Amino acid sequence: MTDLDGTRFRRLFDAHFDFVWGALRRLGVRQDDVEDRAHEVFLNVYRKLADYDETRPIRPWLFGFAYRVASHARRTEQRRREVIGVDSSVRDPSASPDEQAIDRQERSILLAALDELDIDRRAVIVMHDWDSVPIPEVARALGVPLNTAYSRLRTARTELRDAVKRLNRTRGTVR
Amino acid sequence: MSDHEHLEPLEPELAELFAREQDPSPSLGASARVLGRLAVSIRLPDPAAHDGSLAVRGLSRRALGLAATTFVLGAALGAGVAVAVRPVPVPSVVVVERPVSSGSASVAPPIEHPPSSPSSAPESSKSGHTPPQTGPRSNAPDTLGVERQLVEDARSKLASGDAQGALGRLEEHARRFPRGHLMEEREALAIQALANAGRGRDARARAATFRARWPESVYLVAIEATLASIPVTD
Repeated sequence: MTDLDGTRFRRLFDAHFDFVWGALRRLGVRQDDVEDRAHEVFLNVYRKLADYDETRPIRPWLFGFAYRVASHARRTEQRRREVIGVDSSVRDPSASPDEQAIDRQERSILLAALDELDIDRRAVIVMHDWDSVPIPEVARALGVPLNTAYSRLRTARTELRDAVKRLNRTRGTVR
Repeated sequence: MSDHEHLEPLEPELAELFAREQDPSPSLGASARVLGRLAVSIRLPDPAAHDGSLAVRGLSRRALGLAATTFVLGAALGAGVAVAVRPVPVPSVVVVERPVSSGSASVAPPIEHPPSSPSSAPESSKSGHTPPQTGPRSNAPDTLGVERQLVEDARSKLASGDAQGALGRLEEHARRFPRGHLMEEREALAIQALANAGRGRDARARAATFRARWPESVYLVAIEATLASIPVTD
């Protein structure tokens, strides 16, 4: 890696740090963990900088890194919870029941509903329906076939709609 | 017919939720903290040195000067001999995730703190530059190349999880170049390596010395993050 690559990376970091941070949050990475995960994302980006095709938009490419890091972190966390026997549906097992209830109330309906989705589907719906990335670009960034991306998007929309309805009922909101 | 032709538009209720939701934004100082941690792992020049713009958040111009000085020191001092001083390409990325502590206090020998004159450290801290060489330190290009090779080798070993090996390289650097051009970088890496080796107490002591010697170092953010990751039992 040359100093020129370092300069290029530094510019990329300055221009897109906020986006990567937001992508990790929208992928469900907890506030407490997002700094570590952002660090991980940018280390991976640095290693793969030479692979970036400058004719492609950069944000979907960066989102792909965020997705893989978030996905790995979620799997690791699930395994850890299985080993120590913690309920995986609880976002923060160290929080008291009251704190967990407040957390559920204060999180937006959308984020709470997205938490109920599998991360593979969540990534597709966040990219396409939130970030307005065309599905072919989504498929390329996530490294999945085009039809898989469409299929995940449809399923994600159905699951998200159901989760929103359920959460609205739970929170007593009439929509 | 393709899948795309079957895709319905997003339901208005969901579209409204996405439209209403604000993009999450980083907490205060997050980019500077992440950048500081990256600076320990990778050589990170200051873009202002290339395009004259200081498009940086969170770090002061002075801190950036320190970072740029440290990270491009080899290139600056070795101008014209850059190829000669780095004959072997080595990985420059360190994975700074902390492995599970071995719990052993004797896995790696401590690195001796380099002897230094009382006058050289403050100069380094004030100017952000490694002080001019005197006494045993050499600024010959080949010497700088050896220094860089040792530090990069240590960085590579740390990246692969070999904290012991990294400490060995850093110890060799301290022995051969006690007041070398890369001693600040060496000490920062040593703190990380000690923490990774499960030697939290040694890492903290080394960090205290580092802080006193380079109170404005750009590495301090990363060092503090490293110390924060050490279990209190270490």
